[in-house]
Order: sequence, then structure tokens, then C-alpha cells
Amino acid sequence: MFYSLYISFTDWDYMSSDYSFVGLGNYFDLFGDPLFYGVLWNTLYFSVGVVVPSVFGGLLLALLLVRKQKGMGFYRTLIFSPWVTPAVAVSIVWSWIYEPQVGLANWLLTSFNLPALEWTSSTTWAMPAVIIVTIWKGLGWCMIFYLNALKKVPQSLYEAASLDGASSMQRFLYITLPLISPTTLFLVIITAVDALQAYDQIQVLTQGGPAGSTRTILYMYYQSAFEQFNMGQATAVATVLVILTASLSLLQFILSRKWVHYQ
Amino acid sequence: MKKNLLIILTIFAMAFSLLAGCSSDTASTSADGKVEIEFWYGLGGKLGEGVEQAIKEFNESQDEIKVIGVAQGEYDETVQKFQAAVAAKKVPGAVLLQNDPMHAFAQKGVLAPMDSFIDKDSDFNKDDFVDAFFGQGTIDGKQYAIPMYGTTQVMYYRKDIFEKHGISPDSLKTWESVAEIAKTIKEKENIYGWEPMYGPDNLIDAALSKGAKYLSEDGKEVMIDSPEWIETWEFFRKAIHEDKTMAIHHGGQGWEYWYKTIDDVMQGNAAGYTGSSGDQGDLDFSLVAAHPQPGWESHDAAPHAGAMVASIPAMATEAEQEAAFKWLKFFSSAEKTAEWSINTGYIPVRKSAKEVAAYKEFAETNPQISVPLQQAEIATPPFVDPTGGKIYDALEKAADKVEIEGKSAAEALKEAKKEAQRELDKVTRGK
Repeated sequence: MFYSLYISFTDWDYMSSDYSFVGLGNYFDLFGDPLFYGVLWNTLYFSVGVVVPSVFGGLLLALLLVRKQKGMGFYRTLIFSPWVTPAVAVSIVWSWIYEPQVGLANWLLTSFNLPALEWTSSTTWAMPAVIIVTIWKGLGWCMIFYLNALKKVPQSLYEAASLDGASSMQRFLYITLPLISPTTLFLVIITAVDALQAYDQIQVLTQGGPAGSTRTILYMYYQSAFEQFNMGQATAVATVLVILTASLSLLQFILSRKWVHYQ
Repeated sequence: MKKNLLIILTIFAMAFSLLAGCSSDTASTSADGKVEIEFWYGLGGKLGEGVEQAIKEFNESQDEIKVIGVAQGEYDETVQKFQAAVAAKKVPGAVLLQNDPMHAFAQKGVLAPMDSFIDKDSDFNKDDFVDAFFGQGTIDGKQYAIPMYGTTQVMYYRKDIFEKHGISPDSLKTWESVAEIAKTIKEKENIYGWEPMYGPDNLIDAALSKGAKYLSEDGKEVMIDSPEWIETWEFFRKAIHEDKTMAIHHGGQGWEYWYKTIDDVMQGNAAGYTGSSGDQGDLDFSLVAAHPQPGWESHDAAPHAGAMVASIPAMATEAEQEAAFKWLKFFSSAEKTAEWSINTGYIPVRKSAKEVAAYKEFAETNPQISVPLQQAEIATPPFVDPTGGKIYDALEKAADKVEIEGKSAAEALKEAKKEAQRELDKVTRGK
């Protein structure tokens, strides 16, 4: 890792043995490049768009499916199944769903009298379209973790709270949420890291397009390294990605001191 | 929890270092005294089989050299593997490349010039190569690559639909009359008159045919927002989004859009499309015919034609380089290039391929085979992007805006020019 950091200060092309030290040149280039801010924005848009609904949605589903009733196992399996399906296969099916003329998505929209969308063909909707697929894929995974966490909350606490006259909302806010907070922290970090490295679904659904609207930072890394033979620039991009990931996690750790409760 | 993060970061770091490590020992002398070389190529399916067949024939034709074919999934994968191989100093004997990476490799001194081999070899006859293709491998007067097969985009139209409405194939000679045909067909049949292929390539070809240039004479200014460019791109935007006489398919996995376009024409949802010479293997020529790309009323056609080329790494030993050259010479010979063309529809790289008996015979019953070759002889050679692909990238984004979203060509190209100019300035700075 220190080595790759070192490379980011050079103009190495990944092939020749001689290269020169350019100091912070690659970073200045990067931060002076409007394209970089474009992909940075896309990356953040994608990450936030994926993490928040995945984690909240997963919790919601887990709350619905945690009760011991007939058929719950079936629903759980159904919701979890996208996670185990390869991203490429999932994305191919979704690209049919998003087909503007005959796709399922627009059929649904129009049957509710909503306007049909261009989905992956429009710079506005391509990113939400990719986000929807990613959420749909990861939701079940988050749900499984929450199911497990919910089961571990001691029933005695609920019983005691009920005796004290707490409403179900209060029980959720003051008992459930704090006790499952380690799971929440874990899921937020993992889904965020996952989102920063998303590639397959973007590649299949939009190839970074239209007009670059779904290019994320990983795409820029690939371009610099393998299309422009600029390994120095590429590792600079990668370093930014690592710093981004690390600082995101660090931020969450700091914040978590306030609200994560370990039993 | 902290451990988790550490693991993720470690994996990250490992992924980078691993990239450099994968490569194999590629060149040696085998037990029976033959020089063994690997040939790397990014082709699959029928094309890959074709290469393996040629390798087999070459190996059997002599007993000094043994070529081992190593296939990668696609051209880009070959580039990455080759990059890693050079870094690891374990290179193949020869490698099949696209134009841009070949130029980049040559400029970095990774490729061996082949001039000494060419000069020594009296029956190589470089004048027999199609100029646009051979010239691609010439950089600063040295030959860094030999063309293996050529490709260009031509027009494929439905013979039955044209006949039904009394449209002469000659009206495919200018874009103005193509627009007229498209209008007539839309009115009478209610199908699309023409389908350009998704992506900037067709738009660029048409702009070049109007006299457009990528760069100014001194190479310091990007010219992609000149009137020639804007008028041409606007022409297609209007046809697709306003008149709806043309349409494009886009997106999907891999070549999906390409085959959707072909299907539209074969199923009679469109009267024709612009496609690759390599499509000829998939098309039914009892229904369609081929025609060279149009020019404009004010200008002759000048679309791009380019070749896939093969190069020899500078790091290979003298014996390996010599062996590799012999193999490349074999594969680009008139007989082999004619055979490859018959099987795939790609363009033969030698002019004398037309005289090869098998090719002549095939062309008599399949006149479409000679259309791409005809076009290649008048074509514009590939553009070597001084920014390593950023100018093309800007055009790609602009094409998305114009073709898919129907944004004004002037706006899209002005933005593209700004982006491309910034990249070009970085390269020309200090020169």
C-alpha cells in the first residue's frame, strides 16, 4: 500500500523501469480536473443513494419478517435471493425491465398513469436506475443481519418496558434501535465500502453512460491505468478512493461512540 | 470492527500489487531445437478458431518455429496482459493490437521496429499492402506493426424494400439523398429508413466525409466544434429525434445493441443500417446488399478504415523476433488474408488478395465482400489521439447526448471541445 502511494507521486507507465518523481503533480492534475469532480459526485450520489435505503429497508423488512408465522421463511428466502445471484445476471435481467418501450418498469408506471421514463437512456434517470438495482440486490443481505440482531434483543427488556407502560413505538426507539446499533454500524460501513467499489452492475446496465453520467471513481482508475498507461495518475485516483473509504469509516467510528451500544 | 476495516484495506492494497504479478514464461527453445514463441490475440468464437487454424498451418509448413496461440477475451484484455508482461519482463513473441495502444506502446519503446526484417526479406513486398493499413504501423519512419486484417463501416440495405419503391442503390452516394430515401420509406412503409450504429463512430465518419478535422494544422487546437462537425451531427439528431426517419439501438450487455440493429433490418423494421465489414458473416445477402459509405453533395466520402495490427516486443530475443516476423508475414500473406476475409468479412490487408483464386471466385457470387476493400482504398486512416483517448472519450459523451437524448449537436460538441481542449493543452504544454 505504501508502494502504491509512492507510485502515485511518479509518472510511471507500469512498464518501463525508469520513471520520474513528479511529487504531488498527479494530485494537482486530479484536483484541477473538472472530470474528477464529476466522477466524485457520481460516486457520492451512488453511495448515499444505495446505503441509506438499503440499511433502512433491510431493517423494515426484518421487522416485518421477524415474527414466527407460517411462510416467513419463504419470504425471507425470496428477498435474500438477489444477493446470491451474480451481479452480472441480475443486471442483465434489469436491463430488460428498464427497456423504455416494452420493459416492465415503464409498463408499471404507465398502468398507474405515471409518465414513462427513459431509464438508462437518460442522464437524469440512469443513476437512479443503477441505484435501484443495487438496493434491490443488497436489501435481503441487510435484512438477514437485522433478523439475527433482532432475535438477540432480550425479551425480558420488552416485558419490563411493557410493565412500565411503554408504547410499541417507545419500545422500538429506546430498546430495539440502541441494541441493534452495532449491526447498523456494520451494515452502513460494509454497504458504503461496497458501493464505492461497485462496478459490475454499472458496466452491464449503462457502461458508465449515457454521456458519462454513471461513471464512478473506479471507472476513472481503470481508464488512467489501462487506457492511458498512466499508472501514477491511476494510483493517485486509487489513493483518493482509499482515503475516502477510510475517512468514511473513521467518521462512522467517531459518530458511533455516541449512539452504538454494545451489550 | 477495526479488524474488518484493516482487512478491507489490506485486500485493496493486495489487489494493486497483484495486478503486476500475473504473467508466464513465454519464450524459449523447445527440445527439438525449434524456436517457440507465443502469439497473443483477443479473439474468440469463429475468429479465434481461424487464428488457431492458421497457426497450425504455419507450424506444419516449416520446422524451425513453433507458434503457440494464447487467446484473451477481448482486445483490451490483451493490452492489460501485455502491459503486465512488459513490467514482468516476460513477453510473448508477437501480439495483436488495436491502433491506439499500439501507438502508445511504440512511443514508450516497448515495441521492436521491423524494418531490418522487412528489408532483408525480398518477397515481403510492402507496397502490396493497402496503404491506409500499412501506414498505421509507420511511426517516425519506422515500422512498428504489420496489419493483420482491416475493418471499416459500410452501408447495408434491404434490396426488396429498395426495389419496391424504385429506389436506386446509387442514392446511397450522398447523405442528403440517404435522408430523402429514409423519408420516403418512413412515409410509405412506416418503418425506419436508416439505422446508424450507436456510438460516435458513424457520426465521426460522416463528419470526416464533410471535410471535418480533429485537430488544427499545428496540432494545438481541437476542432470538433467546427461547422462541419456540428452540421453533420445535427443532421443525425434531427433524423432520429424530430423526423424519426432514423433510429439507434443502444445499451445492453456487450454487443447487444449491435445485434438489435442488425435484427431490425433483417426483420424488416428498418430499410438499412451502417455496420462493420465484419458483419458480413452474420448477414443474409439474399435480402441485403452492401454499399460504401456516402459523402456529401459538397464533399467526397472519407470514412475511417483501420486495421488490427500485430507487433513484436522489443524485449523479445533476436531469434524470437525473427521467428515472430516470419509468423506475421505468413498470416498477412495474400492467400491467408484472402482466406480470412472470405471467412469473416474483414478486409484483406493486401491489394493482391483480389487476385487470389479463392477470393476471386467468392467475390463473383458475393459482391459485398469487395465493398469494404473498395472503401478502404479511399478511407481516412485511424486518428491517433495525442491525449491517449480523452478526445475520443469527449466525442463519445457528446454522441450519447445527441443520439440518445436528442440534445443539440452544437451544445454537445462545444462542451466536448472544451473538455478535449483541456486535455490536449496538458499534453502540448511545454512542447
